[in-house]
Parts: sequence; structure tokens; C-alpha cells
Amino acid sequence: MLAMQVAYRRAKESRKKKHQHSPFMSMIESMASDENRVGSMASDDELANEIRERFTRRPPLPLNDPPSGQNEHPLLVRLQHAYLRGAWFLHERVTSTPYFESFIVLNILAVGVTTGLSLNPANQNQPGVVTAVDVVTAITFYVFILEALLKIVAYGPHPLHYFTAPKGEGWFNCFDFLLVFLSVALLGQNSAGAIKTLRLARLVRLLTIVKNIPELKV
Amino acid sequence: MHQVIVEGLIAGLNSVGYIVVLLLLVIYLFAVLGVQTFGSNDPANFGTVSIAVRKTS
Repeated sequence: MLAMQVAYRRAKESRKKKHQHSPFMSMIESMASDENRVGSMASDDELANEIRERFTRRPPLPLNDPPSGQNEHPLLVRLQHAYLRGAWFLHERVTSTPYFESFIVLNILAVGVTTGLSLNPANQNQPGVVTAVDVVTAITFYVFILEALLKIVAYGPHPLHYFTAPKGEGWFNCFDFLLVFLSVALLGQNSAGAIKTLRLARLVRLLTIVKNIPELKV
Repeated sequence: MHQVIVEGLIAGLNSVGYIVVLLLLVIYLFAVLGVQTFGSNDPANFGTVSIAVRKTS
């Protein structure tokens, strides 16, 4: 359980400075320097500060109606706002919390343990072990799909930044996504090659634990 | 003088622990890989994960 404790502590530390690399920061900055909004207010710096202050606590939605010249359908605007609000909630309250990362680490560890268990010939005759391995495999399958989806949505205004996140995180995310894609694509197939690839993907999943515990990055 | 060295050693123990975890992870990974690949042909060396860990490391 050392790995989970470490992941918990790391996530807690990174949460302290989350706003420095929040995916919404570029949006907030661009709104703060928007000519249309800044020009109409009393003081530019004051407004910029107010916007920054406001959006580090609440979702960064446009202050007023969209600027004139952009005639967007009101339903579309409302949908966009709902998406941004949901993404903000996901990023602040779900994907960057220590619980989320610990949960993912727990799942990765479970995958590693069950891969080892299922390989022992003595265990392959015991129905209890086989059932447990099947259950864990099924649960983690959905957990990893959900993790990738939630993380992509949590990037809010720029969902594709999931793949290009800084400090090597983007590469790990690409790797994660590839594994999820493989496990979904090969789900129903029973050929020997597909099963071998799936097993390998499940095994290589263990390596991604390095992402959640940055101390392991040598 | 000696105190400085000992303090440095103790401060480095933490990262030694992480390196041990990483090492165990890699050994386990390759043991499982070996069992998956050679298990049926070479049960003496790759029969189960525990045998493979003992033989490979």
C-alpha cells in the first residue's frame, strides 16, 4: 500500500499549485486581456484581477452575452456553458483529487496482481480465483475507459491538450489511451493473437504506475 | 564530519526505497512476461511467477 500512500501525498501537493497549470488558465488569461471587455470597464488591471479572482473559485464562463458580431444560437451557448461548468467540476473536484489518483493506482495494482495470479497453473483449476480474476478484469476495463474519458473532458476548452500535456504527462496519457483503445478494440475477439495482445496490454499497464508516483521517474 | 555523512545517508534512504519499488516492479513485469511467453515450454524455469522471479533475478 506504499504506492497508494505516495500517490495520495503527491496528488495533495500538486493540488496546492493546481491553478498554475489549470487547463482553464489560458481561457481565463485571454478573457482578462480581452479588448472588448477590458475597454468598457473602469480599470483594466482591476477587471483583469477580478476575472482571475473569480474564475479560480468558479467555472470560467463568459461574464456577459457573447460580444456583438458573434450571433450564436442561445441553446448552443447554453450547451457550451454547461460543458465548461461540468469540465471545471471534473477538473477541480474529481480528476485532480488525491482520491482519484489513489483509486487509479489501486486499479493498476489489482491488474498486476490478478495477471500474476491467473498465470499460476495451480490457480487455474480453482473456480474462486478464476471468478475473482474475471471480476477484477471486467471492473478495471471500465475504470480505465472512464479514467481516460474523464481526463479528456476535464481539459475543458482544449480536450486535445490531454495528449499534449506538459512535463511528459501527455506521453503517458497517449500511452494510457493506446492501452484503452487496444482493450476496447480487441474486446470480443477470441483469436490467439488478440488474447496475447490483450494480456500484454494488461501487463504493460503496470508501468503506467510511474505516472501517478513521480518519485519513480528516474 | 561523520554526522554529516550519516545525515546524508539517512536523507538518501527515501529515494533508495523508491528505486527498490521500481526495481521490484520491473522484475515482476519481466517475470510475468516470461511466464506468459515460455511458461508451457519451460516449466522448470518459467512455470509460475514465483519460480520466474527467483530464476531471473
